[in-house]
Amino acid sequence: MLAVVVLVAIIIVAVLGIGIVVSMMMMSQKRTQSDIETLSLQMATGINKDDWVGQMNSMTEYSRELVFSSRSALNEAIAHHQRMRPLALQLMDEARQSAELIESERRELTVLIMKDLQKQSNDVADAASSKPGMRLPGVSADATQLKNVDAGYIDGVLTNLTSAEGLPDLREYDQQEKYITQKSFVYLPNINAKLPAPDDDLNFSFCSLPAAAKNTVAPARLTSNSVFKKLMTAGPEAGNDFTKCKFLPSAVQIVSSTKVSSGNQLSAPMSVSITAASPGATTRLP
Amino acid sequence: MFRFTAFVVLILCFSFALCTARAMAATADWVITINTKVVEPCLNYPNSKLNPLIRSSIYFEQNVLETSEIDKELQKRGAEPDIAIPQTLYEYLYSSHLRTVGMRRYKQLDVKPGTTGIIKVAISNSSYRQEEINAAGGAVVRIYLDLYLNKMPLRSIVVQKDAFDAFIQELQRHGFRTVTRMPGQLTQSVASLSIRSEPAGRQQLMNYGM
Repeated sequence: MLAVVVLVAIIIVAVLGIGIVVSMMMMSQKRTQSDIETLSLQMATGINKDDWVGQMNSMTEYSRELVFSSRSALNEAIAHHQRMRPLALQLMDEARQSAELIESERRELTVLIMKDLQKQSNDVADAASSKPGMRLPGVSADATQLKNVDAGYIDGVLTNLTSAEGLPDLREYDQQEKYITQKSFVYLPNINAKLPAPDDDLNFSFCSLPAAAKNTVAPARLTSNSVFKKLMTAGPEAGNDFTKCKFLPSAVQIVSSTKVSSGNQLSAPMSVSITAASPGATTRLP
Repeated sequence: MFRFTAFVVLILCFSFALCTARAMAATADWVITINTKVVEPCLNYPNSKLNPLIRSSIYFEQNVLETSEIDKELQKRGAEPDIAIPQTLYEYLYSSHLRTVGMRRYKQLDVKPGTTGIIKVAISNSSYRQEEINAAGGAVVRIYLDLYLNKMPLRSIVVQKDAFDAFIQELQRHGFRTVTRMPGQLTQSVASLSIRSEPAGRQQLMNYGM
């Protein structure tokens, strides 16, 4: 009888012990997830710092309008007003050079954002390597390691740009080329909206970024991993050529890994993947 | 006595200038207004080549036009009478570092072809005044081309007196040359601009091309 009671007591204690270990491991994962969520939101907020991504998107579109309008003026001058041709040609050259400048600055901003994400990744990785990890009765967890920080965009989010009302010819061209939505004339995301020849050598790359709605700016927010589309890995490993990143990013996905052990018997890596979208464009046009 | 005479002469000159300016504006069929402003903060990331960014806001308005005999005849045959157009936003032009870098057009230029008008330039008193004058000059040149292609002769450009010289220099940078026309002298020119100051007192004719 006594033996049975002891046996039952041992079983109860063992079950309680396993329960405590499992709950400790779940707590550990929750803590890791919370840390990664905070880091993701912080990185996502930094992507569109001071609405630089929104402003650069807008300037790219304005540059495109300037080139289109200058070309129309030059064609009109050549056809009907030859005397104005030199002036029209001068303004056309200026517009084309400005388009090249805007494209160059867009690439610079992309590299700046990617380098900033890489720096943040490296800072977190360095901090993690110096942390001792977590030690609890029956369970221990190593410090969280960042496996991947990817920059990208959210699938299905359009740009913050609409085609110009004052240039119906450009709007018609954009509709034919399927650069804009049919009803609201919003530019589609992650496209190179090339103009007709001879200006088809210029690049006008629009990135995905939610527009402000009724004076409300979309805040940085967590979102489902399944809608994230990767543009390029930002960190923590070095060596990526960020000049090859085709579009400005507007979201970040962080994958982290933590090794959790229960004594010397149970041990497994626990992976957490979090996606965060950057704040949207402001209401104010440049 | 001398002081009184000088005072009377001064009042007469001022009145004449005012009436002339008003008369010129009153006879202008349309007025295009260009207001410049620094857009802040904008694209101010490290090593940005697009900062400061100046925005030139361009508006047009059309006065009620005098109906000519031809217009009356056309209206009898069903043409719509001319109407006044209130001040309407035409486009924004964006400039940085001596170059126009972008444009956002809101409306087509709905002013009646064949009518004449003036361009008025208003430059704000910001710490980027020279950049604003540069932007205004670039905007004027583009608008001038738009007007020419739409068959709208430009009578004159009116600029603040304290920005007059800098504005002339900016137009020179765009290829316009100052001209002093002698009586009987022929000047071959692709395009001519007449620039006046407000308040009155300065005037300059400029030509583009040879």
